[in-house]
Amino acid sequence: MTANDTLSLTFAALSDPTRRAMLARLAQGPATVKELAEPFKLSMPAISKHLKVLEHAGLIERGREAQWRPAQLHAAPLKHVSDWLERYRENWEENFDRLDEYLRKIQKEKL
Amino acid sequence: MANATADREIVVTRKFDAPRETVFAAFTEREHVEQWWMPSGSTTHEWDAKPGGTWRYSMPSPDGAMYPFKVTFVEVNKPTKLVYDYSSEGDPNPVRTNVSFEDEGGKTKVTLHLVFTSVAAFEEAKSYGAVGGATQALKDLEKYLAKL
Repeated sequence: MTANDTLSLTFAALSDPTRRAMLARLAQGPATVKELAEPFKLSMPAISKHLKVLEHAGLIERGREAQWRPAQLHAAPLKHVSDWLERYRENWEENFDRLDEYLRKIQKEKL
Repeated sequence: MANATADREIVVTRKFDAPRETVFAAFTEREHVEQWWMPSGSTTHEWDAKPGGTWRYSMPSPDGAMYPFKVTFVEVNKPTKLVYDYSSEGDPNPVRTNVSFEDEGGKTKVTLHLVFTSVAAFEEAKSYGAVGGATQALKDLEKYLAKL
């Protein structure tokens, strides 16, 4: 899978407010499906579906016990998204350094 | 989503010790742009800094290969505002960039907004607000990530 495919999966998984709320909950520690379902007026199958999307995107890991399967956050893909956006910022910080230097130079030449 | 755009932006600001006209020219005149924006070893193929006009250039990567980029100018309002779309050549999803130039007592504050429509395009038009979501989620999880 290419880096962009991974990003697509991450963005798609994050596009849903319920899933984002689940991730925010999991950021505080592992939780069971039941615990994750509590704040939402959703059926267990609907919750399961959201968890599957998050799991597929590699954003959560789940235990092996079939019934309760506690989930925990796996933040590496989020770091990847963050890095990807941050690259643009860093690029422009560097561009601004060069512009600053260039403007000093041409200002000086004018005097 | 009223704040969708804000959520999808990266904002970079810098104050430059030069008059606004000079800084605006540095962004919109080829002889200036080639001196700072383009890394050394770059080549300009086409330059037309008018609304609708295109700037094409190639930039060398560390391994020596040349990478082509395309900038399409959207708004060129001397000396206050510049809007353009930036992308790798052939990429149909440019990053919209808004640049504002504010006079601050003879110095110039430049604010650059990068609007990531291209990010949203990653996961099809139907979930267009995803990046806002991603950014928000990242904010929520920032403390957690800091520990990794």
